[in-house]
Amino acid sequence: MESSSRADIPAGLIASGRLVLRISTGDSTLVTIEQFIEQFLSAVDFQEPVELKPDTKLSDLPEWDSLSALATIVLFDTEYGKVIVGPDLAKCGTVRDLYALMG
Amino acid sequence: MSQCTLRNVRFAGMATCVPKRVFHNINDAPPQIRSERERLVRNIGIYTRRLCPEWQTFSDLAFEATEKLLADLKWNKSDIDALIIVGQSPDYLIPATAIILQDRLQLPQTTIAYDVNLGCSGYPFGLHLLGSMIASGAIKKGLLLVGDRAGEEKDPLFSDAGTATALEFDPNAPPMYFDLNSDGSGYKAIMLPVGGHREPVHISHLIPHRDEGGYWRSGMDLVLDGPAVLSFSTQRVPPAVDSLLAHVGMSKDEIDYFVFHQANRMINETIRKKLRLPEEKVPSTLHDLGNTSGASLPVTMTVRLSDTLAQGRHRVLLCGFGIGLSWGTAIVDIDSAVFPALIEA
Repeated sequence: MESSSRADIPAGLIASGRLVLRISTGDSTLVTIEQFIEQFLSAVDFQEPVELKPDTKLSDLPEWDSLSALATIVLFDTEYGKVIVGPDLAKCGTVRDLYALMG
Repeated sequence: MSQCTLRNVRFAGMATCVPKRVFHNINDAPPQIRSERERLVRNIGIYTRRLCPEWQTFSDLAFEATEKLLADLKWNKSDIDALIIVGQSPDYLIPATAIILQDRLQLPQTTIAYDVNLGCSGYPFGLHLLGSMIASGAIKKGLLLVGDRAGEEKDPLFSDAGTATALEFDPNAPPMYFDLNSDGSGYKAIMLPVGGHREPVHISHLIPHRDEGGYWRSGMDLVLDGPAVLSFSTQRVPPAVDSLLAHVGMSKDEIDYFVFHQANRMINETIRKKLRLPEEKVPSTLHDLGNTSGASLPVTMTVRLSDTLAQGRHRVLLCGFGIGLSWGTAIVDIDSAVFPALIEA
Protein backbone atom coordinates (compact mmCIF):
# COMPACT_ATOMS: atom_id res chain seq x y z
CA MET A 1 0.00 0.00 0.00
CA GLU A 2 2.89 2.36 0.75
CA SER A 3 4.52 1.88 -2.64
CA SER A 4 1.33 2.67 -4.51
CA SER A 5 0.90 5.94 -2.62
CA ARG A 6 4.10 7.49 -4.00
CA ALA A 7 2.22 8.46 -7.13
CA ASP A 8 0.06 10.75 -4.98
CA ILE A 9 2.91 13.16 -4.32
CA PRO A 10 2.81 16.09 -6.74
CA ALA A 11 5.93 16.00 -8.90
CA GLY A 12 6.45 19.73 -8.34
CA LEU A 13 6.94 19.19 -4.63
CA ILE A 14 9.65 16.63 -5.19
CA ALA A 15 11.35 18.73 -7.85
CA SER A 16 11.35 21.80 -5.62
CA GLY A 17 13.05 19.85 -2.86
CA ARG A 18 10.39 20.96 -0.40
CA LEU A 19 9.41 17.41 0.30
CA VAL A 20 12.03 15.53 2.27
CA LEU A 21 11.34 11.86 2.64
CA ARG A 22 13.27 9.04 4.13
CA ILE A 23 12.33 6.03 2.09
CA SER A 24 13.41 2.81 3.68
CA THR A 25 15.39 0.43 1.54
CA GLY A 26 14.36 -2.45 3.75
CA ASP A 27 17.88 -3.78 3.23
CA SER A 28 19.80 -3.08 6.41
CA THR A 29 22.85 -5.07 5.29
CA LEU A 30 23.93 -1.95 3.40
CA VAL A 31 24.51 -0.10 6.67
CA THR A 32 27.92 -0.55 8.33
CA ILE A 33 28.26 -0.30 12.10
CA GLU A 34 30.13 3.00 11.66
CA GLN A 35 27.24 4.40 9.61
CA PHE A 36 24.80 3.05 12.16
CA ILE A 37 26.64 4.85 14.99
CA GLU A 38 26.45 8.12 13.07
CA GLN A 39 22.72 7.71 12.39
CA PHE A 40 22.07 6.57 15.96
CA LEU A 41 23.80 9.65 17.41
CA SER A 42 21.80 11.91 15.13
CA ALA A 43 18.56 10.19 16.16
CA VAL A 44 19.05 10.22 19.95
CA ASP A 45 20.12 13.89 19.84
CA PHE A 46 22.19 13.90 23.08
CA GLN A 47 22.79 17.28 24.72
CA GLU A 48 26.39 16.36 25.61
CA PRO A 49 28.55 14.87 22.81
CA VAL A 50 29.78 11.30 23.42
CA GLU A 51 32.17 9.07 21.49
CA LEU A 52 30.65 5.72 20.64
CA LYS A 53 32.44 2.47 19.83
CA PRO A 54 30.69 -0.79 18.97
CA ASP A 55 31.47 -2.08 22.46
CA THR A 56 30.32 1.02 24.32
CA LYS A 57 27.87 -0.01 27.02
CA LEU A 58 24.50 1.72 26.70
CA SER A 59 24.29 1.92 30.50
CA ASP A 60 27.46 4.07 30.44
CA LEU A 61 25.67 6.73 28.37
CA PRO A 62 24.18 9.34 30.70
CA GLU A 63 21.45 10.26 28.22
CA TRP A 64 20.43 6.73 27.18
CA ASP A 65 16.86 7.18 28.42
CA SER A 66 13.24 6.74 27.38
CA LEU A 67 13.54 9.51 24.80
CA SER A 68 16.55 7.71 23.26
CA ALA A 69 14.51 4.52 23.17
CA LEU A 70 11.73 6.26 21.24
CA ALA A 71 14.24 7.81 18.84
CA THR A 72 15.87 4.42 18.23
CA ILE A 73 12.51 2.76 17.49
CA VAL A 74 11.75 5.52 14.96
CA LEU A 75 15.24 5.20 13.43
CA PHE A 76 14.81 1.48 12.82
CA ASP A 77 11.30 1.95 11.42
CA THR A 78 11.95 4.87 9.07
CA GLU A 79 15.57 4.24 8.05
CA TYR A 80 15.90 0.46 8.07
CA GLY A 81 12.28 -0.67 7.60
CA LYS A 82 12.60 -2.79 10.75
CA VAL A 83 10.00 -2.85 13.50
CA ILE A 84 11.51 -3.11 16.98
CA VAL A 85 9.76 -2.69 20.34
CA GLY A 86 10.73 -1.57 23.84
CA PRO A 87 11.60 -5.08 25.12
CA ASP A 88 14.03 -5.56 22.16
CA LEU A 89 15.94 -2.50 23.35
CA ALA A 90 15.91 -3.64 26.96
CA LYS A 91 17.87 -6.75 25.94
CA CYS A 92 20.67 -4.70 24.36
CA GLY A 93 23.82 -4.14 26.44
CA THR A 94 26.07 -2.44 23.87
CA VAL A 95 25.90 -0.38 20.70
CA ARG A 96 26.81 -3.55 18.76
CA ASP A 97 23.73 -5.27 20.23
CA LEU A 98 21.57 -2.45 18.89
CA TYR A 99 23.18 -2.78 15.46
CA ALA A 100 22.47 -6.51 15.55
CA LEU A 101 18.73 -5.79 15.88
CA MET A 102 18.75 -5.02 12.16
CA GLY A 103 19.23 -8.77 11.83
CA MET B 1 -17.69 -3.07 11.70
CA SER B 2 -14.55 -1.34 10.69
CA GLN B 3 -15.59 1.01 7.90
CA CYS B 4 -18.90 2.75 7.32
CA THR B 5 -20.58 5.71 5.66
CA LEU B 6 -23.01 8.22 7.17
CA ARG B 7 -25.34 10.23 4.97
CA ASN B 8 -27.53 13.30 5.55
CA VAL B 9 -25.22 14.71 8.25
CA ARG B 10 -23.93 18.25 7.78
CA PHE B 11 -20.86 19.55 9.62
CA ALA B 12 -22.28 22.94 10.65
CA GLY B 13 -19.49 24.41 12.77
CA MET B 14 -16.79 24.10 15.39
CA ALA B 15 -15.42 26.21 18.25
CA THR B 16 -12.39 25.73 20.51
CA CYS B 17 -11.56 27.19 23.91
CA VAL B 18 -8.22 26.97 25.74
CA PRO B 19 -7.19 28.38 29.13
CA LYS B 20 -5.48 31.79 29.09
CA ARG B 21 -2.61 30.50 31.21
CA VAL B 22 0.51 29.74 29.14
CA PHE B 23 3.10 27.33 30.58
CA HIS B 24 6.56 27.31 28.95
CA ASN B 25 8.10 23.83 28.89
CA ILE B 26 11.70 25.08 29.15
CA ASN B 27 11.63 28.46 30.90
CA ASP B 28 9.11 27.33 33.51
CA ALA B 29 10.89 24.02 34.26
CA PRO B 30 13.08 23.68 37.37
CA PRO B 31 16.69 24.81 36.59
CA GLN B 32 18.19 21.40 37.45
CA ILE B 33 16.32 19.66 34.62
CA ARG B 34 16.46 22.48 32.06
CA SER B 35 19.21 20.98 29.90
CA GLU B 36 17.49 17.61 29.55
CA ARG B 37 14.20 19.45 29.08
CA GLU B 38 15.68 21.36 26.11
CA ARG B 39 16.49 18.08 24.41
CA LEU B 40 13.08 16.64 25.25
CA VAL B 41 11.25 19.71 23.94
CA ARG B 42 13.23 19.65 20.66
CA ASN B 43 12.13 16.08 20.09
CA ILE B 44 8.51 16.22 21.23
CA GLY B 45 8.10 19.62 19.52
CA ILE B 46 6.04 21.08 22.39
CA TYR B 47 7.31 24.49 23.59
CA THR B 48 4.28 25.96 25.33
CA ARG B 49 1.07 24.53 26.72
CA ARG B 50 -2.19 25.89 28.09
CA LEU B 51 -3.02 24.81 31.63
CA CYS B 52 -6.25 25.37 33.55
CA PRO B 53 -5.89 27.18 36.85
CA GLU B 54 -7.11 25.09 39.78
CA TRP B 55 -10.70 26.30 39.62
CA GLN B 56 -11.19 25.63 35.90
CA THR B 57 -12.42 22.34 34.42
CA PHE B 58 -12.86 20.86 30.96
CA SER B 59 -16.58 21.63 31.14
CA ASP B 60 -15.84 25.34 31.75
CA LEU B 61 -13.85 25.44 28.50
CA ALA B 62 -16.46 23.41 26.60
CA PHE B 63 -19.20 25.70 27.94
CA GLU B 64 -17.48 28.79 26.50
CA ALA B 65 -16.88 27.05 23.16
CA THR B 66 -20.52 25.93 22.95
CA GLU B 67 -22.00 29.34 23.81
CA LYS B 68 -19.88 31.03 21.14
CA LEU B 69 -20.63 28.37 18.54
CA LEU B 70 -24.41 28.50 19.10
CA ALA B 71 -24.38 32.31 18.97
CA ASP B 72 -22.42 32.35 15.69
CA LEU B 73 -24.60 29.60 14.19
CA LYS B 74 -27.72 31.50 15.32
CA TRP B 75 -29.19 28.19 16.46
CA ASN B 76 -32.03 28.20 18.97
CA LYS B 77 -31.12 26.26 22.09
CA SER B 78 -34.60 24.76 22.06
CA ASP B 79 -33.70 22.98 18.79
CA ILE B 80 -30.79 20.99 20.28
CA ASP B 81 -31.66 17.30 20.52
CA ALA B 82 -28.38 15.82 21.83
CA LEU B 83 -25.27 16.84 23.77
CA ILE B 84 -22.52 14.23 23.78
CA ILE B 85 -19.24 14.69 25.67
CA VAL B 86 -16.25 12.61 24.61
CA GLY B 87 -13.48 12.89 27.17
CA GLN B 88 -11.89 11.69 30.40
CA SER B 89 -12.01 14.78 32.60
CA PRO B 90 -15.46 14.74 34.19
CA ASP B 91 -16.45 17.40 36.71
CA TYR B 92 -17.27 14.56 39.12
CA LEU B 93 -16.77 10.80 38.85
CA ILE B 94 -20.56 10.61 38.68
CA PRO B 95 -22.97 11.91 37.39
CA ALA B 96 -22.09 12.49 33.74
CA THR B 97 -20.84 16.00 32.93
CA ALA B 98 -23.01 16.29 29.79
CA ILE B 99 -26.13 16.24 31.96
CA ILE B 100 -24.79 19.03 34.16
CA LEU B 101 -24.02 21.05 31.02
CA GLN B 102 -27.56 20.50 29.66
CA ASP B 103 -28.77 22.64 32.53
CA ARG B 104 -25.87 25.11 32.56
CA LEU B 105 -26.25 25.72 28.81
CA GLN B 106 -30.01 26.03 29.29
CA LEU B 107 -30.76 23.33 26.75
CA PRO B 108 -34.21 21.72 26.88
CA GLN B 109 -34.83 18.78 29.19
CA THR B 110 -35.68 16.75 26.08
CA THR B 111 -31.93 16.77 25.24
CA ILE B 112 -30.16 13.39 25.08
CA ALA B 113 -27.03 13.97 27.20
CA TYR B 114 -24.27 11.60 28.28
CA ASP B 115 -20.49 11.13 28.37
CA VAL B 116 -18.32 8.75 26.37
CA ASN B 117 -15.02 7.63 27.92
CA LEU B 118 -12.43 8.04 25.16
CA GLY B 119 -9.24 10.12 25.12
CA CYS B 120 -6.91 10.99 22.26
CA SER B 121 -8.79 8.86 19.72
CA GLY B 122 -12.18 10.29 20.66
CA TYR B 123 -13.05 12.83 17.98
CA PRO B 124 -13.82 10.50 15.03
CA PHE B 125 -15.74 8.19 17.39
CA GLY B 126 -17.82 11.10 18.69
CA LEU B 127 -18.52 12.30 15.16
CA HIS B 128 -19.65 8.79 14.29
CA LEU B 129 -21.88 8.45 17.36
CA LEU B 130 -23.69 11.78 17.04
CA GLY B 131 -23.66 11.48 13.25
CA SER B 132 -25.36 8.09 13.48
CA MET B 133 -28.20 9.54 15.58
CA ILE B 134 -28.71 12.25 12.99
CA ALA B 135 -28.29 9.99 9.96
CA SER B 136 -30.96 7.67 11.33
CA GLY B 137 -33.40 10.57 11.33
CA ALA B 138 -33.91 10.21 15.08
CA ILE B 139 -32.66 13.72 15.80
CA LYS B 140 -32.04 16.88 13.75
CA LYS B 141 -29.40 18.92 15.58
CA GLY B 142 -26.70 17.85 18.03
CA LEU B 143 -23.58 19.05 19.81
CA LEU B 144 -20.38 17.09 20.32
CA LEU B 145 -18.08 18.38 23.08
CA VAL B 146 -14.59 16.88 23.02
CA GLY B 147 -11.52 17.53 25.13
CA ASP B 148 -9.74 17.08 28.42
CA ARG B 149 -8.03 18.78 31.29
CA ALA B 150 -5.03 16.46 31.15
CA GLY B 151 -2.22 19.01 31.50
CA GLU B 152 0.03 19.16 34.54
CA GLU B 153 3.09 21.32 35.08
CA LYS B 154 5.33 18.32 35.80
CA ASP B 155 4.59 16.40 32.59
CA PRO B 156 5.62 18.11 29.35
CA LEU B 157 3.06 16.62 26.93
CA PHE B 158 -0.52 17.41 27.82
CA SER B 159 -2.33 20.70 27.42
CA ASP B 160 -5.96 21.61 28.19
CA ALA B 161 -8.76 22.42 25.75
CA GLY B 162 -12.53 22.18 25.35
CA THR B 163 -14.24 22.09 21.96
CA ALA B 164 -17.72 22.05 20.48
CA THR B 165 -18.85 20.69 17.11
CA ALA B 166 -22.34 21.18 15.68
CA LEU B 167 -23.92 18.61 13.36
CA GLU B 168 -27.34 18.80 11.71
CA PHE B 169 -29.62 16.75 9.49
CA ASP B 170 -29.34 17.81 5.85
CA PRO B 171 -30.43 15.55 2.97
CA ASN B 172 -27.98 17.39 0.68
CA ALA B 173 -24.94 16.87 2.91
CA PRO B 174 -22.01 14.95 1.41
CA PRO B 175 -21.30 11.52 3.01
CA MET B 176 -18.93 11.09 5.97
CA TYR B 177 -16.68 8.04 5.95
CA PHE B 178 -15.27 6.24 9.00
CA ASP B 179 -12.72 3.61 9.98
CA LEU B 180 -12.92 2.85 13.73
CA ASN B 181 -10.86 0.34 15.72
CA SER B 182 -10.18 -0.88 19.27
CA ASP B 183 -7.46 -3.09 20.79
CA GLY B 184 -7.98 -3.69 24.48
CA SER B 185 -4.91 -5.93 24.71
CA GLY B 186 -2.94 -2.67 24.95
CA TYR B 187 -4.95 -1.14 27.78
CA LYS B 188 -1.91 -0.83 30.03
CA ALA B 189 -0.02 1.42 27.59
CA ILE B 190 -1.74 4.55 28.95
CA MET B 191 -3.76 4.25 32.13
CA LEU B 192 -4.76 5.71 35.43
CA PRO B 193 -4.50 2.42 37.34
CA VAL B 194 -5.79 3.60 40.71
CA GLY B 195 -9.23 4.87 41.70
CA GLY B 196 -11.52 2.45 39.88
CA HIS B 197 -12.99 -0.76 41.21
CA ARG B 198 -10.00 -2.99 40.24
CA GLU B 199 -7.70 -0.94 42.42
CA PRO B 200 -9.57 1.45 44.71
CA VAL B 201 -7.66 4.32 46.29
CA HIS B 202 -5.72 3.17 49.35
CA ILE B 203 -3.83 5.47 51.67
CA SER B 204 -0.54 4.03 50.36
CA HIS B 205 -1.31 5.39 46.87
CA LEU B 206 -1.40 8.89 48.27
CA ILE B 207 2.13 8.96 49.68
CA PRO B 208 4.11 11.18 47.32
CA HIS B 209 7.81 11.16 46.52
CA ARG B 210 9.91 13.82 44.84
CA ASP B 211 11.33 13.06 41.40
CA GLU B 212 14.66 14.43 40.10
CA GLY B 213 12.93 17.61 38.94
CA GLY B 214 11.60 18.21 42.44
CA TYR B 215 8.03 17.41 41.40
CA TRP B 216 5.83 15.36 43.71
CA ARG B 217 4.61 12.07 42.24
CA SER B 218 2.38 9.38 43.69
CA GLY B 219 0.51 6.18 42.89
CA MET B 220 -2.37 8.35 41.71
CA ASP B 221 -0.49 9.55 38.61
CA LEU B 222 -1.07 8.55 35.00
CA VAL B 223 1.13 5.69 33.77
CA LEU B 224 2.36 5.96 30.18
CA ASP B 225 4.52 3.36 28.38
CA GLY B 226 6.25 5.61 25.82
CA PRO B 227 7.74 2.93 23.55
CA ALA B 228 4.44 0.99 23.46
CA VAL B 229 2.47 4.12 22.53
CA LEU B 230 5.02 5.05 19.87
CA SER B 231 4.96 1.57 18.32
CA PHE B 232 1.17 1.43 18.39
CA SER B 233 0.77 4.86 16.79
CA THR B 234 3.35 4.50 14.06
CA GLN B 235 2.40 0.91 13.17
CA ARG B 236 -1.40 1.12 13.26
CA VAL B 237 -2.25 4.63 12.04
CA PRO B 238 -0.68 4.71 8.54
CA PRO B 239 -2.34 1.44 7.38
CA ALA B 240 -5.69 2.57 8.83
CA VAL B 241 -5.54 5.80 6.83
CA ASP B 242 -4.59 3.94 3.66
CA SER B 243 -7.31 1.38 4.30
CA LEU B 244 -10.08 4.00 4.60
CA LEU B 245 -8.88 5.81 1.46
CA ALA B 246 -8.86 2.51 -0.43
CA HIS B 247 -12.31 1.60 0.90
CA VAL B 248 -13.86 4.84 -0.38
CA GLY B 249 -11.76 4.85 -3.55
CA MET B 250 -10.05 8.20 -2.92
CA SER B 251 -6.45 9.13 -3.59
CA LYS B 252 -4.47 11.30 -1.19
CA ASP B 253 -4.68 14.12 -3.76
CA GLU B 254 -8.42 14.29 -3.19
CA ILE B 255 -7.92 15.17 0.49
CA ASP B 256 -7.20 18.85 1.17
CA TYR B 257 -5.89 18.39 4.72
CA PHE B 258 -4.86 15.47 6.90
CA VAL B 259 -5.40 16.38 10.55
CA PHE B 260 -3.84 13.94 12.99
CA HIS B 261 -4.10 13.78 16.76
CA GLN B 262 -1.25 15.92 18.06
CA ALA B 263 0.65 13.30 20.08
CA ASN B 264 4.25 14.51 19.87
CA ARG B 265 6.58 15.52 17.04
CA MET B 266 8.36 12.15 16.86
CA ILE B 267 5.12 10.22 16.47
CA ASN B 268 3.47 12.72 14.14
CA GLU B 269 6.47 13.09 11.85
CA THR B 270 6.90 9.32 11.62
CA ILE B 271 3.25 8.91 10.64
CA ARG B 272 3.48 11.74 8.10
CA LYS B 273 6.62 10.32 6.50
CA LYS B 274 5.26 6.77 6.37
CA LEU B 275 2.16 8.06 4.60
CA ARG B 276 4.35 10.24 2.35
CA LEU B 277 2.32 13.36 2.99
CA PRO B 278 3.71 16.86 2.32
CA GLU B 279 4.02 19.10 5.40
CA GLU B 280 1.65 21.73 3.98
CA LYS B 281 -1.24 19.26 3.97
CA VAL B 282 -0.64 18.18 7.58
CA PRO B 283 -1.29 21.12 9.94
CA SER B 284 0.22 21.03 13.46
CA THR B 285 -0.37 22.88 16.71
CA LEU B 286 2.12 20.94 18.86
CA HIS B 287 4.60 23.82 19.19
CA ASP B 288 2.21 26.23 20.94
CA LEU B 289 -0.65 24.07 22.22
CA GLY B 290 0.88 20.67 23.00
CA ASN B 291 -1.05 17.42 23.12
CA THR B 292 -4.64 18.42 23.87
CA SER B 293 -5.87 14.80 23.98
CA GLY B 294 -9.16 14.29 22.11
CA ALA B 295 -9.44 18.02 21.49
CA SER B 296 -6.34 18.11 19.32
CA LEU B 297 -8.22 17.65 16.03
CA PRO B 298 -10.64 20.55 16.69
CA VAL B 299 -7.80 22.65 18.19
CA THR B 300 -5.72 22.18 15.03
CA MET B 301 -8.68 22.81 12.70
CA THR B 302 -9.59 25.99 14.60
CA VAL B 303 -6.07 27.39 14.88
CA ARG B 304 -4.66 26.39 11.50
CA LEU B 305 -7.62 25.94 9.14
CA SER B 306 -10.57 28.02 10.37
CA ASP B 307 -10.26 30.75 7.69
CA THR B 308 -10.04 28.12 4.96
CA LEU B 309 -12.79 25.85 6.24
CA ALA B 310 -15.23 28.73 6.77
CA GLN B 311 -15.27 29.42 3.01
CA GLY B 312 -16.10 27.01 0.21
CA ARG B 313 -15.93 23.24 0.35
CA HIS B 314 -12.92 21.30 1.63
CA ARG B 315 -12.27 17.66 2.33
CA VAL B 316 -10.44 16.79 5.54
CA LEU B 317 -9.23 13.48 6.86
CA LEU B 318 -9.35 13.39 10.68
CA CYS B 319 -7.43 10.74 12.58
CA GLY B 320 -7.31 10.19 16.36
CA PHE B 321 -5.35 7.51 18.19
CA GLY B 322 -4.29 6.65 21.72
CA ILE B 323 -5.53 5.42 25.10
CA GLY B 324 -7.58 2.24 24.92
CA LEU B 325 -5.92 1.39 22.68
CA SER B 326 -8.23 2.98 20.18
CA TRP B 327 -7.83 4.58 16.75
CA GLY B 328 -10.29 6.11 14.34
CA THR B 329 -10.28 7.96 11.03
CA ALA B 330 -13.00 10.06 9.39
CA ILE B 331 -13.22 11.75 6.00
CA VAL B 332 -15.50 14.77 6.17
CA ASP B 333 -16.43 17.36 3.54
CA ILE B 334 -16.81 20.74 5.23
CA ASP B 335 -18.78 23.36 3.30
CA SER B 336 -19.04 26.96 4.53
CA ALA B 337 -19.13 25.93 8.20
CA VAL B 338 -19.02 28.34 11.13
CA PHE B 339 -15.53 28.55 12.67
CA PRO B 340 -15.12 31.18 15.41
CA ALA B 341 -11.52 32.21 16.20
CA LEU B 342 -9.77 30.46 19.11
CA ILE B 343 -11.38 31.42 22.43
CA GLU B 344 -9.22 31.98 25.54
CA ALA B 345 -10.93 31.77 28.92
